[in-house]
Amino acid sequence: MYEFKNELTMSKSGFLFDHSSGQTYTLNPTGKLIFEKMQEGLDDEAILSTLIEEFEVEAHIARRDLEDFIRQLKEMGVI
Amino acid sequence: MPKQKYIKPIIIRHASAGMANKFGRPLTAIPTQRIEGIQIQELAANYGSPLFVLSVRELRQRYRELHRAFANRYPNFQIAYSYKTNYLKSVCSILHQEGAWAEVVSGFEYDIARDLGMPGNQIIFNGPYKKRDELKRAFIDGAIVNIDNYDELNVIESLADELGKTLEIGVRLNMNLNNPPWYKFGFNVESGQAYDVVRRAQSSGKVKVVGLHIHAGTYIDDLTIYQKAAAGILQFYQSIRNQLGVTLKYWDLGGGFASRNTLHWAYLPGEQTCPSYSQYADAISSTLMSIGLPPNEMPRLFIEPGRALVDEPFSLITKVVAEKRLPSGQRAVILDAGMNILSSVQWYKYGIQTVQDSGTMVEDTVLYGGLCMNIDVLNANVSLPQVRFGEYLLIPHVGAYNLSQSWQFIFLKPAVIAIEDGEVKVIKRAETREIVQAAEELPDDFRF
Amino acid sequence: MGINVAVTGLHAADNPAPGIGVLRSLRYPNGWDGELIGLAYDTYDTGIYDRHLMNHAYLIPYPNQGKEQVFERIRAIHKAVGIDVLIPTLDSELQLYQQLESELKGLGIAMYLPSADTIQKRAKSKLLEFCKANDIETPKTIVINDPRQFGDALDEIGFPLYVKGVFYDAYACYTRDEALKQFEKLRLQWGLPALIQEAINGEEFDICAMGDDEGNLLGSIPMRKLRLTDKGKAWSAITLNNPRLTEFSKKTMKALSWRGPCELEILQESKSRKLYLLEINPRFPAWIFLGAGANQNLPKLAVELALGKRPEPLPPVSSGITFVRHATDLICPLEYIENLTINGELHFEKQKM
Ligand SMILES: Cc1ncc(COP(=O)(O)O)c(C=O)c1O
Repeated sequence: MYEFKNELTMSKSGFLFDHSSGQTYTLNPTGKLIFEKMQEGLDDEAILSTLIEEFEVEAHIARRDLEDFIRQLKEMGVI
Repeated sequence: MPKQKYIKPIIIRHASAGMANKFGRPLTAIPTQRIEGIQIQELAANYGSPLFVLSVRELRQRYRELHRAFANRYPNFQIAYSYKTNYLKSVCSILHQEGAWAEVVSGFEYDIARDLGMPGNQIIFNGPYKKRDELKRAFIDGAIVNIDNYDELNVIESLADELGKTLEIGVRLNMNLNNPPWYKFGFNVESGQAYDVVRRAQSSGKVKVVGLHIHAGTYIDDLTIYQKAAAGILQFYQSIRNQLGVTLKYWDLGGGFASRNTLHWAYLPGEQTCPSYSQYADAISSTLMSIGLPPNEMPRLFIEPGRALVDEPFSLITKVVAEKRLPSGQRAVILDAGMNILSSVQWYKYGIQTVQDSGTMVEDTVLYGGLCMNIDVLNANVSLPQVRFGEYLLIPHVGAYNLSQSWQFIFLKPAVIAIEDGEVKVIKRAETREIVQAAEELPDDFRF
Repeated sequence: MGINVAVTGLHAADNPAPGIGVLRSLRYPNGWDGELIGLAYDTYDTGIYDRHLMNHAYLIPYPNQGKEQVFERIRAIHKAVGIDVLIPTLDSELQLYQQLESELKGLGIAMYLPSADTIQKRAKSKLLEFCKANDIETPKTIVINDPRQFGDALDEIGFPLYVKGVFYDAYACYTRDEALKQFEKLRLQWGLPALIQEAINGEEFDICAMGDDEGNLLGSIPMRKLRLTDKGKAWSAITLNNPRLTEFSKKTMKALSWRGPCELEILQESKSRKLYLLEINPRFPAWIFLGAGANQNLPKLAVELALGKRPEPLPPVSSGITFVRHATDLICPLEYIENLTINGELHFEKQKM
């Protein structure tokens, strides 16, 4: 389970707004999907299986990318 | 339900300033899949990566266009290809097939030209350091020799004694044309040095001045520099003709024409700022033609292009060998090609093309070469889609200077292939360790 | 049917771009019939947040992203809204749009720009040659490519003088020491060439002028700056009735066969009252709206010329009209930012412009 630092609004287009810092972001569709699953409270393994189900991707690549993505969210102070 | 195409997940934080907008799909997001009709992936699979690829069609076409641009404007015109730019035998030989003469600046290059079968009288021998035996051979072969300094003149005068005849020479000039001016080469016009050397040469009776040469620099996209160079050489000729009775057989305006690459300090891309062949031809020949001699008395006009002929026809295929994220958050990609085979990255902000479809969302990326050196950066900031490990990128317009100036450092140099009419020919095999170490000795005393 | 006009250069922070003045001129005094389209480079270019200025705003790639990319983007915008006339207003765009002129024409997008040859002649380092050849006064200038020319250039020009970069920076110098110091500074920062220019004591005037295909003057707005920002930009100025300035611009425009808009910077020497040409900017100035208020609407003229009409020269401006630049704050919802960041476009509900 990930905890989001601030109140965040994600729009349909992948535009993300942080209400307390005023920072904005753009996510691509894969990023947006992962983000939404995190908001729904899924853990890494569950997110991973969603990715593999919906996309044409090998598990080891998806796992690496998910780790990279989460690291980026942490570095940006989103989670 | 069929699965969706997968693109690596990304989040981009909007910077407060200085981020270029991504509207208008960046060209990097439009994959280039083939060179001359052949799949890039297939070429890399067959010949390895990195890989230099020559489009022979484009090389021939560029030569023909350049020749036509000048020949339409000047009656007695000849291109001498500047070997130093890229002296792979096939490149020189294709250009000789098209009618180019050779312009060389060392004994080594001279030998390449002779070995290919170029007659001496179709070789122009330039440069600040020509050895005595090389000069001797050049004069015996009837080559065109442009002198650079007084010491060389002394050597040539003694050769005239040795060979027992008057030797014809050209004189390389320099002028204050550009920034910085290329004063290293030849004799200065403004200070009177050039006039003095012509007078001294003529008066000795051992040599005869029959040519003037100037080469003002490289990657010159300012046409007025050529206008001024032509005006300067014309005026200088008028003075030595009237006062010293010199009759020229040729004048040689050198090379220096730009290619469509972009210099680091330029704002606009080279494809927009690079003048066309006709514009260069206009700038030079309209000035020279104003001398008003009848066509049969016009000195022959040489140019010595290098970059403008061979830069564009070559591309480099390179492979992504790692992806990284830097502490700044910037994305980094490491390639299997480095500045050891792409020395012109010092000057050029090379364009980068993708080969596979990696989506349309681009991210500012730094491209590192594969060398174990921090300065090995092939592009410090390019908007690139999410290319992955093992995918290929294409760097276009890499034919000038990179191959002749590449250095041996920790990796073996890649192969070079040429494609014409759909047929692939290897023009340089990938280096092996045996080739690199062929000249080395290991004395027994040093063995362990 | 109204004419749809697209305009670039919409950022007006501390150094305002001309596009905003151009759009306001088009709408002055009774609104514009067609659609007005703003072409901007950055999500935060200020002008695109002004719903009263335009119907649509689009982000386009910077000129240094290359011709093809800019063209592709404009083609997409053209497909969406239809552009009849495009008015680029920034120095850095000019070369690009000259090169795209025939391709855009092929799409049905007209422009009215000076020729490439004209632009070459008025470059800072070439202005002297051009002026000499055409009997136009300009401060004596020496281009320095080689540091060793520097001493001689000082002797030839004499003090006081300006040490100038080719694109940026100019320093007034009164002694050799000062000149050497500024020259070294420039050389380190920008490299050579640099310019040494005679300093002439006098008053400066600005003229926005419009030439037709042969460089005949169709309109000109002479003004004098009343207040300057610390960057030397006018934030207040007044229109003039000065036949000598008009004659001077007529002669210059004709000599260059200047087609389209430009801004001439002119200096009148105090004692002799001789006029000197300092610089020519190949575009509308940021203060162009002043003309609309003074009875000379040059952007409207530019649209007519682009569409192939051959209008008569305009009557002279009303003198004594003043502008004062006034910065204000626009309020906008988050959707504006989102639309611009994600889609690169923003549309305002149809309103009479
Ligand atoms: C004497 C001479 N000629 C021709 C050239 C070729 O120049 P470029 O490749 O710029 O055409 C050079 C390169 O420096 C040169 O030194």
